[in-house]
Amino acid sequence: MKQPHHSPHLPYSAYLVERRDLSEDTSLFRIAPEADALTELSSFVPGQFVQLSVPGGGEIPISPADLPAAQGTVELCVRRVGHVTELLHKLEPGAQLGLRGPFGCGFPLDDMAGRPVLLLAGGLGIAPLRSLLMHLLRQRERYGDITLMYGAKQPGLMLFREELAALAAAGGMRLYLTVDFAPEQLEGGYSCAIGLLPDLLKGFRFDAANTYAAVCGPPPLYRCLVADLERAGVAAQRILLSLERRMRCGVGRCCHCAIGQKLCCVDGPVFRASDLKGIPEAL
Amino acid sequence: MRPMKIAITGLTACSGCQLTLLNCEDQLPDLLARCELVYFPLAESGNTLEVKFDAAIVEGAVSTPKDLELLFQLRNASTHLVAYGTCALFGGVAAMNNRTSCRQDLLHTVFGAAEKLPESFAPAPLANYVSVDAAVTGCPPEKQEIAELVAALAAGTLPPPRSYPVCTECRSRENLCLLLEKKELCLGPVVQGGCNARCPATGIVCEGCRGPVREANVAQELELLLERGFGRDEIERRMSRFKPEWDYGQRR
Amino acid sequence: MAKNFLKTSRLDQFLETLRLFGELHAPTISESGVHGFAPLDDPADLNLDYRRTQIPPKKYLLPFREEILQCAGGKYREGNSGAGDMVLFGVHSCDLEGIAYLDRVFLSDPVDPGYSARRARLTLVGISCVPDDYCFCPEEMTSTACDLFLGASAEGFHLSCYSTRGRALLAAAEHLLEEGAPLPAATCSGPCFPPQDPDLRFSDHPLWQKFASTCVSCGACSVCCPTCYCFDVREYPGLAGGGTRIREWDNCLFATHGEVAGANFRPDRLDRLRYRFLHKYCGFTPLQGTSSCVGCGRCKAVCPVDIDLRELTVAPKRVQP
Repeated sequence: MKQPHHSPHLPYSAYLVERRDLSEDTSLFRIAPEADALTELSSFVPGQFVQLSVPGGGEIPISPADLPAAQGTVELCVRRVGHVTELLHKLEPGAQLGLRGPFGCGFPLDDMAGRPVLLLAGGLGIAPLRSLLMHLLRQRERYGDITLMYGAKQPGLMLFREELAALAAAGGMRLYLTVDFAPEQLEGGYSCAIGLLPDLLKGFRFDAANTYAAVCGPPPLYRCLVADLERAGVAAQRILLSLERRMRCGVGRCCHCAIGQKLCCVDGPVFRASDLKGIPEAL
Repeated sequence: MRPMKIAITGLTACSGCQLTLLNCEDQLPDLLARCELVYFPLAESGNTLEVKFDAAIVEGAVSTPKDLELLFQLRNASTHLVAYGTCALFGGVAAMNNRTSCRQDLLHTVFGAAEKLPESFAPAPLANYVSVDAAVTGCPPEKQEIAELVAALAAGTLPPPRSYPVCTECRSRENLCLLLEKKELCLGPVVQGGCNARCPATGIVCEGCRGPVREANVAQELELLLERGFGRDEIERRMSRFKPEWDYGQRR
Repeated sequence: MAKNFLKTSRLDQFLETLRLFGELHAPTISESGVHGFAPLDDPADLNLDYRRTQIPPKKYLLPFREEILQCAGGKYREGNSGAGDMVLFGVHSCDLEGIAYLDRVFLSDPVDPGYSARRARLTLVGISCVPDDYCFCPEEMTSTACDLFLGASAEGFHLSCYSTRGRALLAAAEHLLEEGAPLPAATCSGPCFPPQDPDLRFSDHPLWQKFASTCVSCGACSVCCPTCYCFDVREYPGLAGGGTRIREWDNCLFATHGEVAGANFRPDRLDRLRYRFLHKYCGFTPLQGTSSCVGCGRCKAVCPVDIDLRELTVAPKRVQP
């Protein structure tokens, strides 16, 4: 018999369908959760996160890299950085996993409708923004111009490069790629600038007064990009930041993810820059 | 699942840590199911070092050329090298007088005026010579912690660390605070917890056998003890019992 | 006139009656002299003349360490909440308000299963108290966040009930009670240190630096706080395969509290003290604007270096020339 209320601690069971290596330490895991989990995931909004359990290792918060697909899977882009992710990267297809969520607040899609959207991703920050991008492109007519600026340390660390190039070629969006430096010869594919993301933004002409900007990347990136965007004329309430914290419980209790008086797992992980003013520890 | 190949051994030490592992009677059947104990001289004969180990669990400090040779051999042969116990991590009891005593004098005291003294140098933690992948602290470590580590290695990961001082568990167990209420020389605030405040629970101060907690406020602990009338020498002697070097100015 | 007065001489019989409602726990003194709530096997062990227990009653609802999940064959299942019927006797108003605050955190949606299972089976019997120098509750603070409250007087106790279960207790003990004077309506004071302005955490008060330098991060203040509930979640693999996921009390003054892979959002002790101030006196979503300090005085009593965060809310004392 199905329990009337599923415990907020208890992960639904799921299994690993397939894994695609995106770089030396980052892979895309396609995960199939059980039916009840999919029902909960049907309310997923890009920017929200799920808690992925690797049995024997523990749980990590991850923002899905795509909307739960029609075939009933979730795509999670995970870098090998700690105990749990290390274990995840050792798993073979078919391995048992656990999944809770979705949790938190995602991107304010209704507010963004009808406006140009500028996505700014640094490094692994492309993962949460990819789910937003997929949504925007699937409901292309609902939004204004879509632009993705994506910066990585070097070409080998640029995730989803071919896929993004193909999406741009299909005409739905503009794509700007940049790498901090390029030790290897850039081969074919989409052209790629050398420089930092803020440099790319500097030369960009856009309808700043109407644009929604969505930013995700390592902490230092937020600090300079928020200032640059505001200088360019994007209002702070239209600058959306997807923040990373150590969410343990996901339901607003363990308090590890507090940002000022807000909790990243409940009020975020997507925040408006205007809501973070006066909270120095936020960025 | 292929059982892990394990080496368990000791350098300059009392073998107490290895005995703790042998004392995990409840867990031994499971442990033996997950691990093949290829090299464990304390517990069995017919040991070989001529294989690759998934993990080498090494107790003790390094204080002789033989220690060093064995350590290098194990490091080169093992995927994971585990510093097992306080001596392996911090030097431990063998190293407590490192700052005050001369090795040569000690050798003469022990071996008298023998012509050929054994070669020996100041006991030091494993990490002074090789890279260490995981650690279990304690003199001896808690049974549960070594079981956790072996289980985690077998599962392909490491156990999540605990990073609170002895005081946290001590207070939670509703022990009497020996530092505040009895003004005793207790090192609880600067020492790594995980022992469930074993000693203070029986009325004995924390002697610091598990080494420093992360970001220990050593300078403040020193002040607290000085305020309670202990002399600087006595405090330093106590603090160096399990770890010879402390930065007494450290606040984080 | 209602039958609501219990003579001191009948207290033991009253305690026996309470046992009908669950395992009886009450304030006692341990062998080493520490005040704590413990099972009351012998009424002679009862210590009603206590100021504060070292650990507040939160330990019954949110144990220091709790197995929340077991994992076998890759599948997780919930741990046992270990809940049984329990009567907690002799709880002071501050601790009752502490539980009321925790209720707001753990019984809100989605309900915490372990906490709510234990809470549902816990009967609370409060008692009036005499504050000491560490207490900072308003005088005559009386909490109604309990099933039954005992107001002590020279001859005995005036009983007030605040729940259906409280009325059941009263009915079961009716033969022990006498008619007493009607009681004045109790004032429920709630958290008793007023909410503070969040910006105060960035004040240039010199005590911030002092506290940051002297705090030893021992964790005692939050371990002993009746409303501190931050917890860590960790999973340990088992030797036989599978694993156990636990949650354990955590402390905002530990280095790990604000960490993510590769960064720490509260790298210094000063940042962590600010966080503590903010959580304690200003509240987090959805309790923003709520102070959780109930005035029990434990943090001040157990701090090895006499840190009292409330001092940061008043202007610094003039430095003596």
